[in-house]
Amino acid sequence: MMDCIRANELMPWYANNNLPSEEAWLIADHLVNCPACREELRWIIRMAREHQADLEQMPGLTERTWNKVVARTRGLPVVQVNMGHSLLGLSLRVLVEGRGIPMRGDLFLLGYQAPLFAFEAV
Amino acid sequence: MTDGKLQETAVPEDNFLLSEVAKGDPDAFSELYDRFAERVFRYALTLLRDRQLAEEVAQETMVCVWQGAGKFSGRSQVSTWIFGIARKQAHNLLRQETKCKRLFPEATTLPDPADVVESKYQVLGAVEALPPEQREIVFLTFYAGLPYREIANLLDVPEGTVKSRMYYAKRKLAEMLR
Repeated sequence: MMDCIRANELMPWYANNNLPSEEAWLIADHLVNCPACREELRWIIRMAREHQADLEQMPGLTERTWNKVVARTRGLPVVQVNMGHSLLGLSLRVLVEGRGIPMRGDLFLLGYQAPLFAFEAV
Repeated sequence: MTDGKLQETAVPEDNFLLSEVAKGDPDAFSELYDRFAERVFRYALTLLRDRQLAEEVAQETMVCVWQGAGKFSGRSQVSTWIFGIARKQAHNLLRQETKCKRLFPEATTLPDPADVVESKYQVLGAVEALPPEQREIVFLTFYAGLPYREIANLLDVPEGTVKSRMYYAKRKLAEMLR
């Protein structure tokens, strides 16, 4: 049997469905006969949801961060030639990244992107 | 953010995505970025309380994920591994900033309960008033959704420490919010 102290200790992770099943079962058993711990669980769930909602409402990352990450990982296009349109198109790119100067060609067909060629000049 | 979508119809597991990133798959990286960058940013914001620095941490972390995906051993969840990188980046930045004498204001006293009640973000306002180590546990438990064992692994502290920090955090939050 689990007592209130131990149940309270594990309650935040029980509320999140993040406990190993044996501990989760022990808490579930305890909650059946403990109104005080059930109330505690209700409060934790409400608080966790509000905390998450508060954080979600705050302004997040901007597109700028993604662009910087792309430039540092997949390279910054120094030359890019696009032909065609969204249904059928061809894109040729010369990029600069930390390790070298990769060149890539992609074919766009019905919204899908297929690599045509890729090589890297160091 | 995603330039192209992975071909799988089912939602790929984090581990699968990371293994694809290790092979240099840009689509897998876009997907992983969409899943984690925002959470990493908010984690860094919780640690540093500076939007610009938090953006920097998110950027550095995701670059490290791209470069170090092949080193992931699979001993922890992918999220724990990524938050671990973010934590290291945040602490490095904090050290640099401290050296440059640009210290961050830290809440040392509890806010006036009346202010908290009036606040738009009641719970977040109360969490902000917690000591940093408790604030971090609350974030990792309630927002990042990590089990206590993963949190202990991430912070490199015993599981009992994670539970006791949460216990005290909960007690303080109850004083402010109930």
